[in-house]
Amino acid sequence: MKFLVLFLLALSINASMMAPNQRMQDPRCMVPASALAASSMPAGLCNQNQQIPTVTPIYGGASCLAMTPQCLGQTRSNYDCIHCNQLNNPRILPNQFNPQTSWYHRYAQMRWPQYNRPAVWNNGYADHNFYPGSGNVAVGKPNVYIHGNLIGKQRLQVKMKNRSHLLAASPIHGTDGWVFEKSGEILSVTGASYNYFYYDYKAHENYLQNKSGFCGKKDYLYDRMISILKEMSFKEREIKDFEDYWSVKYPGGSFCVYPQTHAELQKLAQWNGSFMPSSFRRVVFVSVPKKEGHKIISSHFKNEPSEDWNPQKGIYRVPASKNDISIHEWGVAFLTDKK
Amino acid sequence: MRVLLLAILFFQISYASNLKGIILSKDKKCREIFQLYVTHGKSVVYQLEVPHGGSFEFDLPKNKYRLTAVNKSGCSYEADLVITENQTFKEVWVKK
Repeated sequence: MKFLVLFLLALSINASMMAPNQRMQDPRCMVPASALAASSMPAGLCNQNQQIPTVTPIYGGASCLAMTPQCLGQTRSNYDCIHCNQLNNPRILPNQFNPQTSWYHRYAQMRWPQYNRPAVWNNGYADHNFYPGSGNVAVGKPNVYIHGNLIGKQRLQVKMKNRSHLLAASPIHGTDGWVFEKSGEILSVTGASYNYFYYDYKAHENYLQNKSGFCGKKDYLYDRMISILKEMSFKEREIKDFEDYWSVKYPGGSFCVYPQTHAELQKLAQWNGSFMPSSFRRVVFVSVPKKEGHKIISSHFKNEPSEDWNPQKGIYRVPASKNDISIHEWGVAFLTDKK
Repeated sequence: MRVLLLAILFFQISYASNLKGIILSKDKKCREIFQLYVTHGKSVVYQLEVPHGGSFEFDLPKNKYRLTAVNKSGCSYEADLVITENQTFKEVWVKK
């Protein structure tokens, strides 16, 4: 009994230490009002019990496995589909590894010699010492874009499931998720304007598909991932964001890429929304080092993909939802060097 | 048993090394999107885009890091960061 009391006391101490910030919805409330005024940020809603929208899981009624107009939606004008090159005249792509690199890449490359790696890196793997949580898959930079007309305060929560662990987010996700208002393509959260929501997480490989994908060296894999995003009809700026980051950060060497869709990802990072989109696109490219030059430590991804991956698998439609709202998410994941 | 309970408590405290923050500036020229870097030595642990007034959070193992925010106009912030406590809140005041 004494131990039970001690245990409950220990938990309550821990809870009391964590509660204030976990409850915190508005980071502006942590900043003195005078300082906040000096920054021209509107004041936060502090010391109030804010009503936040309730959420339900976002599910896909049907995955698009046919190239119908409903599934394809808007495509890029300069559509480069690697699969289609067999049918059309192939077009020589510019060297995507020497792009007009963004200013911040040049800045960072000068400062941090290991910058051209996607994470703190250890021979093909992310260094587990820097990415806490169980599991051996570090999912990097899922960017979440929300399109369509949404009125009033809305909420999107990414609920960590099956021992997944949130590593990073912007804006602050906390336990409740992102409460936002949408104006045009801008997502407004506590007075700041975002083009997309960002998060990283750690997850277990067992929930991911390990049959479909493709293998090769960086140049091929990168082109293929871009091609898939185009085939999935990600918007131009979303593909540009992907290109801008991963053309520099995708590591050299040989990898096998196993794309994951909503069907797998929802078991690890479940989307819950106060709204139900009529369609969504979701893909995370899990990159596993090939045997050559790397120690293979994954028991789940020990075999190379046995079949190609169809990009239409990542497009979902919700027939019951008659609005114009869609969510697009891309990400790239790597294994960590220890489970 | 007592050791086990203390271990659970220690684990829960030590595991949740959460850093939250917000990017602010008094300078109107600094209200563009920032690149935020969390680095350790020569390596970048995290890199992300954060707008002015925008917030961020990281779950970082206890260690020494450097937090750098910079934008195209040359507004910046840089500070060493020692993650030791359960929760840390950082106001990132950028200036030209």
